Amino acid sequence: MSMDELEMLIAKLSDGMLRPDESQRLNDLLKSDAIAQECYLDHLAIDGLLDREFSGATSTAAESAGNPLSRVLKQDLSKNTIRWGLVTCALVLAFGAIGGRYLWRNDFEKQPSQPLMVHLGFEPETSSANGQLMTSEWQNKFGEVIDRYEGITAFEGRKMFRFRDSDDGPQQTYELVEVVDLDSLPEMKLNEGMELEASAFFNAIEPDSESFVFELSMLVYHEDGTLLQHTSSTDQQPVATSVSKVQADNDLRTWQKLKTRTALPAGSRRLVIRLSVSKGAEEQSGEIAGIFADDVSLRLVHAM
Amino acid sequence: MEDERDEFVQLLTASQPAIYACILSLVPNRALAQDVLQETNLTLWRKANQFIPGSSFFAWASRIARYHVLELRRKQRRDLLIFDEELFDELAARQAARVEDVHQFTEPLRRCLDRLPKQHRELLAERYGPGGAVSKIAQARGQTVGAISQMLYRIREALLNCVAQRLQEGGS
Repeated sequence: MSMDELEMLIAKLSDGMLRPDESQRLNDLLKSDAIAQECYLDHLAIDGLLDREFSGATSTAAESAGNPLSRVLKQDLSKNTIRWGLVTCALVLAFGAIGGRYLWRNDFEKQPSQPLMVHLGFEPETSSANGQLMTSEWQNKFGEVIDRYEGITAFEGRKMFRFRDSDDGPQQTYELVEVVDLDSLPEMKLNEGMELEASAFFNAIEPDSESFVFELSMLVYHEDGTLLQHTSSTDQQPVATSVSKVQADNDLRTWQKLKTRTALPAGSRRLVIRLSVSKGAEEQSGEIAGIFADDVSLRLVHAM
Repeated sequence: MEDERDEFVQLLTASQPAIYACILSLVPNRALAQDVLQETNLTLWRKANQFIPGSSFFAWASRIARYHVLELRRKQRRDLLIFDEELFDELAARQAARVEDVHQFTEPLRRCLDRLPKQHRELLAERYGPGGAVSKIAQARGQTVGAISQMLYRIREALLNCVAQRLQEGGS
């Protein structure tokens, strides 16, 4: 056996370039050869560790120490095409090759953790040679990502989203939409009895906050379509929906959490997660001072 | 109870890179390895109360990972399997015998990465970052795919030697 040949085949395997005939040759070289197998296992071990290290999928000791249940598992979702689109407020968030994550963490109510598929906060992590999350590209005038606002800071991390301008409808709805291409999530294998659960946090410092209603909804579609063109008035009918609402409280010290869950019917292609805030018609439309959202997450959970 | 759960999560955290690396060794396809890792983690969580504190978490977790690898192989088309049955059994047995070694690689590897020349680290980041592919790197650099692949292999080998040396010296 030539070590050069073995090395070449292992290199091609690691880099996803092994041809079928080379695969057979690799089998032949490794079979019953202890040294070759040790060499192979060593290189694939390093390969796997590097994959985790650079895909942003590694938990550091500092992260674990700071919050044992935060950012435990990270997983490269390099094909994930999750993107934000602000429907009526024209805010577009483009995640490119997002480093999606699996996270284990305590939720707000300190209930047992569930595996978290994607964590979609508003942190300004940039895509870099180190393979971290892509920067969200905010291109709008109707909402903004900020650090703080009159004493309110982000629920998690350093950044949060501030709803600013509404549509012109009687209900004065402020919306933020995330569109998920389900086909691009290789680990999206919903076994029987599993559902998707979305959660998000809201806060408000408006003088009459109690007149606002926070809403978190999920809409599932069979059709692919153009992901960033989802609108509230789309002709496509969702095959599954779920919604959760809560009246805003008058306490700017606490963030209110909404959760909603849905099964994914067979053939589901697109998931829309929508955060919205609506207000009574008697109020004037236009810019509002302080309505915020943060820490949007998508989890795989057992059906109840 | 809370302490036990926190400890379990800490162990799970620390083991993730090595569990993935072990899976990848037996399922050398990143997308499939990610699937297996997800399944493994769900099982680990469901069976958390079966883990005996004080025993080797990684050994327990990697056994469960191997079970899920076997499950994947049962479901996968024969022609898509890289390794035939006989070789897979040999590799799985050999890996089981050295499983703790992989777990010990994690921290020394990070120290060794810090020592890499900047251009080598950048190449690794391009290769292993989101959307990374040897063909894209080769095109961007005006080099052949074979040259880039060989360069990556040499870098991985250098890291392996560095890790082995650190472990031998007794540190990370």
